[in-house]
Amino acid sequence: MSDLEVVWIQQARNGDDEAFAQLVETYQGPVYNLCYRMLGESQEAEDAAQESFWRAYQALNRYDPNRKFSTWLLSIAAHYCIDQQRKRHIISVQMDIVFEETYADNSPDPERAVATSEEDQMLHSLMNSLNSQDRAALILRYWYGFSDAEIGEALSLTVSAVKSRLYRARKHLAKNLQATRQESLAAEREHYGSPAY
Amino acid sequence: MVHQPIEKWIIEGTPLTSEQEQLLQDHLQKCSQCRELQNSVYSLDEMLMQATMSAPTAGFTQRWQTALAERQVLKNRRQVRKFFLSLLGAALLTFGLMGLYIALTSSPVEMVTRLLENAIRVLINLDQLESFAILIFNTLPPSLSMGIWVLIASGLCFFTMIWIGALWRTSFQGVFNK
Repeated sequence: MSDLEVVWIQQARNGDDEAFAQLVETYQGPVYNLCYRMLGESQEAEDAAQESFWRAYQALNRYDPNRKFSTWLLSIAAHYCIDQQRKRHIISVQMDIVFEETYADNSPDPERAVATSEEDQMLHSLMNSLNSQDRAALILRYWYGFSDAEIGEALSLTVSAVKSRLYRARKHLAKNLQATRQESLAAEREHYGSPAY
Repeated sequence: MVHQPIEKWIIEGTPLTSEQEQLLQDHLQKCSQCRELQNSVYSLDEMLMQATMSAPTAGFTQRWQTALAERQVLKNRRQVRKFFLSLLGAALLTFGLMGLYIALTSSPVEMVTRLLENAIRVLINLDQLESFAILIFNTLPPSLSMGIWVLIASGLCFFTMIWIGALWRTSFQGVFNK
């Protein structure tokens, strides 16, 4: 954390909104990226990032200056996104029940439309298959280079819980990737009429 | 075929001892399932390492500042509403409890009698207060200088204005714990 940031935090704690706006300007990228990777949709990510900064603004007096500001801020964003995921899951389960009873949904997945490259799209759908806590742990490790202890601090987990979550997430993703590749290979063979199929 | 601890090593991706490395290579030569898993883990790591940071659209901080102003207004309104509702709730609770106490400890006739007694007492006290005020205005002014009366009146006005200002601030701006 730079000296300037320490000053901004102190000024923001004394009620200077401009100083907090400087912190928003500095950390908008990391916070937005975390929300985007967690929620998978740009508008939702924007709202979640704004909400995370609002929560940080309200809780600024409880911030411990001995902690890294970015870890504290990303922890707020991660917790918010995990809550959103849980709510979304409950809503989607309820919606699924209604749709199963009434309509057959043929519309394209909006999350897919956001992802641009093929790799990004694949990563996107793979990440979507993870539960929210595992996903948060994985994002903090790969996008932010957090150590097990830092992930634990951010997600309120023990180091051993972080290790087991990361292991489980990697295993799940690797197996899903394997299955996806096998499926696409099979589809390709079918398309080209390979005798092997 | 037993895939552990090979599968664990592949997924963890942590450095292995030479003995473990040998065991891994031997197993991979025989087991296509673990080979495929290893390839998937490599591809996954590559994907994760190459993944880019997404950025919000331009003007994020300006949108934050606008939203902050709106949120603060909403928060203040909520705070004021909560304050007055709590005040109303406390008053209702107090009167309710008082009513309950009176209803439980006295008969309706006693209640009406006491109410009338108290009302008369209040009226008598008001009347006495009025007489007292008239007495003060008739006797004290000559003994105090005009300057002191001006000071007293200004002080009263000043405190009244502070009181009104505090009420206005609480109602429209809210209270912040810095």
